[in-house]
Amino acid sequence: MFFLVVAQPNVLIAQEPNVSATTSQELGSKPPDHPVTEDQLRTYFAVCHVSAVSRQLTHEKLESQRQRLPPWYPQSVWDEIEDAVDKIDMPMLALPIYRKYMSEADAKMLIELFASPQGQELVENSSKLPCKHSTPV
Amino acid sequence: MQARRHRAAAMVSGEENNRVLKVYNGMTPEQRRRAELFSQSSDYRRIQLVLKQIAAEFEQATIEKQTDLAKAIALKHQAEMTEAKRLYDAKP
Repeated sequence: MFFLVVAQPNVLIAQEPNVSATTSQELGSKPPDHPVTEDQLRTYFAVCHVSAVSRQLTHEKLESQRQRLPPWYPQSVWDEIEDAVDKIDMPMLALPIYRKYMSEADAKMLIELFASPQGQELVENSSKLPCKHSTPV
Repeated sequence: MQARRHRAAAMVSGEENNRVLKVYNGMTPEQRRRAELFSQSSDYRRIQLVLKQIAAEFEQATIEKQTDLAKAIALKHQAEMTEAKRLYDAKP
């Protein structure tokens, strides 16, 4: 009955530039001793515009899905679902995942990089890419 | 709802731009140089793998969160939805 769509921002992976050997955790290794903090992740999401891009993509997809709802479907229910999706705290949702892989040092370097004009250009270019993740619920 | 969303998006965007400036303006010349070098280092492939893994898990977590929200809201409005469908089906 519901066909919500998840739109994940490309900024998470597509535009990440080169990173020095001192900054990332090897895949499969143990979590970092000093993982990324909540504040760092919120800053990282902000400088990468993750939430804004994700929200925009999600609502484009949601609008497309809304138009395919059965005619009897109460608009108020759909609005409530959209509103709830809108209010998801993305950094908080992502934090446990990031803490498995990203150290404070990783986060610091990534934040500094993406706050730079060069990094912002990378973010901007990546956010123009089409989103490929759409999942029926 | 659409207009409210656009206003919220614009506000968030402004806040994020301010945050970018705040971080960048707080960086020393050395930090700025280091950030530039960081982007040109040879560890690109490794961080890509890490970030791809994070993105995959984050996508799954987002799907699960959205699913939970949708199910909870649908359950809350089950009677209303059933009635809406019944009325629609009863129409000639």
